[in-house]
Amino acid sequence: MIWTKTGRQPQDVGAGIGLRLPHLAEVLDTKPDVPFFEVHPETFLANPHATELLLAIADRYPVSVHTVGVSIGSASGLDRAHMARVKRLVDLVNPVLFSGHVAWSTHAGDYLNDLLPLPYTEESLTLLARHITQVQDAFERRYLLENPSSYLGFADSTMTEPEFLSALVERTGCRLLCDVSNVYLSAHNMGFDAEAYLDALPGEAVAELHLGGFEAEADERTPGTTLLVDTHGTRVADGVWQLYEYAVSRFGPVPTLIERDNDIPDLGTLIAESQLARPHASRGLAKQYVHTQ
Amino acid sequence: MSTLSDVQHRIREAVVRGDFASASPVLIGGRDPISRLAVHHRHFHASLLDAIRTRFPATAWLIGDMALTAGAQRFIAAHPPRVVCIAEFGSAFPAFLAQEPSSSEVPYLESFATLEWHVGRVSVAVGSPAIGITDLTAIDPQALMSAAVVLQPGVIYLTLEWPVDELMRLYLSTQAPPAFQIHANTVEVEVFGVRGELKLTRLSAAAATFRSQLQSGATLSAASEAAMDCDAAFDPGRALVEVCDSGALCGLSLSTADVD
Repeated sequence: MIWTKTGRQPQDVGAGIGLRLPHLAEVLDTKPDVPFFEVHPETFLANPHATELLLAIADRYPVSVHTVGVSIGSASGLDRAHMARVKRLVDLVNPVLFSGHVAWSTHAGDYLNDLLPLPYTEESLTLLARHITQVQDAFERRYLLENPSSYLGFADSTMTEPEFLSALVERTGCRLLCDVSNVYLSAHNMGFDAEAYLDALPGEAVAELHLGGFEAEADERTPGTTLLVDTHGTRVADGVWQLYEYAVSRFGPVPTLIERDNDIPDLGTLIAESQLARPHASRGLAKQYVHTQ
Repeated sequence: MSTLSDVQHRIREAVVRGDFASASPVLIGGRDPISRLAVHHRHFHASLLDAIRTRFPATAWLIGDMALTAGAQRFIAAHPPRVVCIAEFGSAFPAFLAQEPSSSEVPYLESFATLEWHVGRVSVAVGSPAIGITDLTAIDPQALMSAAVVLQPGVIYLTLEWPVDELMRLYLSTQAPPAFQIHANTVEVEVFGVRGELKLTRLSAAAATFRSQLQSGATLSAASEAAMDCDAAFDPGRALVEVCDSGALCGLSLSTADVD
């Protein structure tokens, strides 16, 4: 039996989980079989006790650091003081992956506690490329950029999101974190083809996949239609699992993460959900390889 | 074409203030992009409201969830976070809440919410091994008096205009007496937290001065003099024993001359 394309055989791919405060002590006590954990550093900066537990976990498990407050797209610049705090934690954790969002959340000193959308223009591209380079230089690590969950676009945008992400990869050498749920959600909300979007990404740059839950709410001004809202408060939708298989067939067995930030269930439930990734990833990998014998 | 800075200013106004009009021309999405921008407006307010409610559960217990929520909503609109770490958002909330018209019947509200803010802050601290008084007996007394000490990072000293530490103890013990009387009376309180454990200790003015001076880096001699300015009968030796017994002392810095 010969498998072509990458030469690697399909693998059993497990998924990591987002590690949140309620589960830190239990992870240390029970040492569950989880491939890796991902943390938001901003959760730990004002919590020395949680940091102490996290460092004990990082001794035992691979940990990925996923920033939510670096605000790479802020026209008012990067918050150097915040970056310095994050860097101190990152240096202690020594993560296997280091990532953030194509978004902005600070403006003129206000922190808006959300991942806000950017127009895809040359001005944005130049700004983000400069900020990504500054982040990669400051942290001495390659940064993974996550595609946003979108409800809106901009009249002034001159390129598609995959074109924008591809240009950032080319200009900065960064990698991509493809949030498959965000692709599904954005495709629904903005009316594009999700598989075509994945096809347009530079596949060799995708270094991690995310899966999370969203909720449908009525689109008030368009009767009979729904808007998918990124809540990270529910299990992964069936349609996203199908798209995940397609993503794995495109990008191969890259690390996958299940995220839950609201209505956080018990650790066992999260781990059980993460284990659902394995058969889907296997099916995706099987599609990737051309059986020639 | 709008600049990125201009676009972000317009969106900021929509997200924080609910002023969607200026953002409308630059957006696309669905039949009415403004209704979609409202998703971000709702998230901003809901997530920060949740942060305040999580940070001030005892204050909600004191004044009711509705009053706390109403105050928090106005606080968030008036004072969006200037910090990225949301656990650090809300330090100005006690003073803001105390100015709310509905708070006038609870004159000790600011003291109580301030205490709760600091309780939350130190309860997640970590500690180092404590130094006991027996560890200090080998040190020459004169050298000891010119030494500076290090207190645990989870220790803080508060001067409160009302004895709200008693109320906080009630809240933490989940006991509700049939009646509780409180009168304006300035109190000194040590809040000592470590890894989720918490201790509230009422101190005399002199003891509070002694300990807070030590915390700010004063030598034992200087801290003792400051405490004796408050109370001529203050006993530094006994006070040092009490600090050690509380587990608050975790470091000692002798001057180079004393070490030599």
